[in-house]
Amino acid sequence: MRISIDWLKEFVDIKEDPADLSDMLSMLGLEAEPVHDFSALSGVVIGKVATAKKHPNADRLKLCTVNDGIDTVNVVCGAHNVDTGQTVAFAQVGAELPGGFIISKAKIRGEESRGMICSERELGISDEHEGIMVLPDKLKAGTAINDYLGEVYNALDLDITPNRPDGFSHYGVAREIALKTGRKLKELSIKKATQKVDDIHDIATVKIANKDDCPRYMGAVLKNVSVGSSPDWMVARLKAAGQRSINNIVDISNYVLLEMGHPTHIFDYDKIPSNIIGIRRVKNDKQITTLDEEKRKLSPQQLLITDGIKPIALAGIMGGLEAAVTETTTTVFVESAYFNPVTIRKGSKELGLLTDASRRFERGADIQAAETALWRVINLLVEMADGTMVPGIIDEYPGAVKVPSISMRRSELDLYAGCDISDQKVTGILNGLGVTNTKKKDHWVCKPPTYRPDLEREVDLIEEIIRVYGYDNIPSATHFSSSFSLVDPDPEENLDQLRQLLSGFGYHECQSNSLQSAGWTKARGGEPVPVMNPLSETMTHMRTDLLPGLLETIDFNIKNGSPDMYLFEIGNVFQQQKPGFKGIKETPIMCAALHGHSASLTVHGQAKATSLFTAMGHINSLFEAAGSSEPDFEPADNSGFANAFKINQGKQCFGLLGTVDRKFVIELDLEIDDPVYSFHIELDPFTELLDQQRKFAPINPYPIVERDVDFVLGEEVETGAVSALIRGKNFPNLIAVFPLDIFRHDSLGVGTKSVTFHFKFQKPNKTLEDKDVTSVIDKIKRLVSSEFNAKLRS
Amino acid sequence: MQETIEAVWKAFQADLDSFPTDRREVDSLKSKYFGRNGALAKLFSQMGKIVPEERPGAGKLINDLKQELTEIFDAKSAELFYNAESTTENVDYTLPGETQRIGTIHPVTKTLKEIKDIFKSIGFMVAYGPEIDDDYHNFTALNFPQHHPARDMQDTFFIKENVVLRTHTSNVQIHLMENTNPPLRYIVPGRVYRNEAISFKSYCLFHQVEGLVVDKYISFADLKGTLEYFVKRVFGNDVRMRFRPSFFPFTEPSAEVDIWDDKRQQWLEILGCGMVDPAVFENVGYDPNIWHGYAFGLGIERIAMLKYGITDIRLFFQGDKRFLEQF
Repeated sequence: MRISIDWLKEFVDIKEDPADLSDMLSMLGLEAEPVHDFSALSGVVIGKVATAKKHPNADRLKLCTVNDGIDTVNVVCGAHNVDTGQTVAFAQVGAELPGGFIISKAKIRGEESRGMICSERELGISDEHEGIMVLPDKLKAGTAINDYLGEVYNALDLDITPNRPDGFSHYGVAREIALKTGRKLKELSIKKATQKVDDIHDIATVKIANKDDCPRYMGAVLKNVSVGSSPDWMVARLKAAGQRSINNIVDISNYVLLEMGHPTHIFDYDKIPSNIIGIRRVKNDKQITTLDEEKRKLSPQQLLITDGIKPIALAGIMGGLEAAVTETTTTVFVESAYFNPVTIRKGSKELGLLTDASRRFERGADIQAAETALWRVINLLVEMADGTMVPGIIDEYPGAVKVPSISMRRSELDLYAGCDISDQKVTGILNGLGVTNTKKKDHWVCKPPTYRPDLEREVDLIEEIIRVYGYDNIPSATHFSSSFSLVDPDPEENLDQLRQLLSGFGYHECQSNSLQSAGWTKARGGEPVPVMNPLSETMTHMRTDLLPGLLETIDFNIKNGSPDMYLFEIGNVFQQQKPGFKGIKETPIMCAALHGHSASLTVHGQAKATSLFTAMGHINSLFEAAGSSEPDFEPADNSGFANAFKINQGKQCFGLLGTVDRKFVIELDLEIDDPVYSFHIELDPFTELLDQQRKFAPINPYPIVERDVDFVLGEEVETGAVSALIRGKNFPNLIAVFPLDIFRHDSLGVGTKSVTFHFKFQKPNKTLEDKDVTSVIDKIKRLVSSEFNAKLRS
Repeated sequence: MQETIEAVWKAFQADLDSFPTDRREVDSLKSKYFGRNGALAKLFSQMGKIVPEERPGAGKLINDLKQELTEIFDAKSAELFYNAESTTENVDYTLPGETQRIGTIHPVTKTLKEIKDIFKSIGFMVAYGPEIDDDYHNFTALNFPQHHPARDMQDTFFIKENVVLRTHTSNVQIHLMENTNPPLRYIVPGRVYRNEAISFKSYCLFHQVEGLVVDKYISFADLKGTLEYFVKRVFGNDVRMRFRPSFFPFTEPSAEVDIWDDKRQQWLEILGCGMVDPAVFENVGYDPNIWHGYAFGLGIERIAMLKYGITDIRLFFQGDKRFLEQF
């Protein structure tokens, strides 16, 4: 909503500059911002066009002389409307216009030009640049234009919250200023005709089908109106408020809307030959062509104004083209009504058509203002369009406005405010708001005005008192009290530990979009959750996995010169496990992806490629950091992975490790040529591990004895199987066994490998003797030889 | 005896002149003198053959010799193997160190942790809730009437009719109050969604921290005190801030908090807040005549952008390494 400051001044004194006025309104909850800053404009003065002739060398240009108060200078002007005797905005040589444009001397088609006659656009007032701006003749040549522009065009843009329909007008804003400053709010000048004759009922009938949709409908007819242009003052005001002038009739309706916030509509009476105005929902009507010349399909949601048979307007939203005022109109029917906010809201939503009128009706217009607005329009039509009013007005008023009586307790006000606001102050604010009130012993009995439909309950009034009193005047508490609670204060706190570990391993944490394409979410199997109204085709579903997002990030970074990357993300993934809302499962997981080298080439060593075992090592470390033993990796089938392994510990599966399938990368339409390794861990079980209470084990002070044994094994034998077999036998004092080295050579035999296993022995209560270890090693050698057909390498 | 000691000394001198450079040879040289069957051990073993009255003197001589040889030997080998590598002349200390690649934690997570730590320090607990929720928890129970322009304040993604991607973490307010008896003191972080065109200043999702306090005597002054403390902890004690009246369906009175940006010479909005609307309490079965409270909500990205000087919200979700590695 754009508010002209000049217009506001008609209703309340304004002493503040636009910036201060903005601040005042913002602090009242009407967020405001000045629109123009004419103070930056320099070198533009009032000029008088002394002569305007055709340019000798160009048909479309004019050669003018302009008096700038001191000199008369030559100016070449391209505007069609420039004429002798005009008062204009003249930018002298050296002037600086909005956008930093500086005027300099020029030669145009052989004629010297020393300055520029400005259009509105060049001065930053509007987008108008068809012709130059013509100013009132009373302005004196040579004076800087800044003051004049500020006076006429200074305006504020207001961001009105949905609860404040009263904020959508100059009068409503003026009321707030008067309330805050204590200045007088001037009344609207309305002249109501007092004659008792009701001729109008002979020439117009209003039929309301449903009083819930239309609780009040008022109308009047004016004859002999002459359609033409509006007076300059009205054009300027509309312009300052961001509206273009159309013709005097349309302008009047718009003017009243902006002035007092109540929408009205003016029909060409002669285009309603039935003389009937019907207000009803859509029945069999198919479509209507609205004023903007759009054909709009109708549905039963829509409330219509009809001529008794066919629609002539979308009630409260936009008029129809058929019964619109044109240059030939002579008799008009003025509508001023109150429509149900929900009806208008539904209709406007369905059409996707939000207008100045619908915006006000859907927030709740003022049912009493319908009458004031009607008379204001009538007055202006008489004054500006020479209309003659047909005596009488129509006022169909089947619905009643409910104005609640509200009791506002002093104790509740104090509790909310946290400070004492005096009775006098409270009563003053209520009066300023237009709330009729009576102070009782410990409460106020209040009745809000009809223009504040948002004031329905005690808390609504308390809010108003605190708002107008000023949030700045409420003291800030200096202490707090809280209660003892045994609930886990932050269930996700230990995810920080996981993040710290992963970043220590070299992973960057990412956050990627949870909205992905159908292809991406289906690629990993499962049933993705679709979005009904996606922003784009690439965001139609909720992610089922974090991997595609990480792969996209890797792809992005490869293209930007960083191929070596470890990434992880912690977030929710979504699956439609069963039908319906309850069947949607959100699972928090951590997913990691590794690409490129784990160490780069340096002076100290070669680059080292990342492998599946890099990822596996990180998983082991995470479990170790969680105070848990290393997990087992069990081969698994998984779409999207060339090889995949479940991360198990006991019966619990924590997640998956694998090498991403190249086909999957191609399916996602990404270009990653080198292998990507990835793992994910479900966070619910893993945080349980992290949460586990640790127990201290006494330190064994006796030395560890270590031995290596080389076994020549068939290539098909898994080292893990050998280790597991040995561990399973529980050999005395054996505390660890793992492969240390793998060696392949023709001399060992084709299809074989020599694996060095490393053994650690320790006794809990004494130093181990050589012979104790040797006998166990011998047993192990025999065991492995017989179970795996292993040979000992000498 | 004397001569034998002399002989060992001389032999040692000779070996010193041709002191080996190979570690294994040094080790064998060491055992030649100091080992179990080395020269010094042999000297000690000859003690038995000496007349008893000369034994103390001879013992001292051998011990002195041992001490001297040990010192000389250790110094020589240290010079060779440790110092040689350690003297400045022999180390090109201008070489780069061996790189240990480290990762980073996302700025949104970092900022969230900072926010959580501040609120935890003043008695708040942390709760989490679903990203996909029904209309009731995201809107209706929060006093957004079904057909009211307030619904336009947040452009919503729908999963199906009456199921939405939450537009704020305020849905968890309702879940919390439905499942917990007052008093309450919680913050709720999480991912939220808005169906808005993506640009440098808005993304289809962001992260929010919602706060909720419910107790018997909670006033607007308590709300102001709490949020002033928070804003000062994040932006410093000298920050200029204001509470500006605003509108949210689930709070009344409602406010937006602005901080003054000296560089841009303008107020910047950083969070929304207000007193819990009694209608919300009624919806969860709390008696609004007994219970009062305040709620607030802030965008983590917004705070992070101001703190770190980031001007494009899309950077948070792009995963550009050149962005991530700065945090």
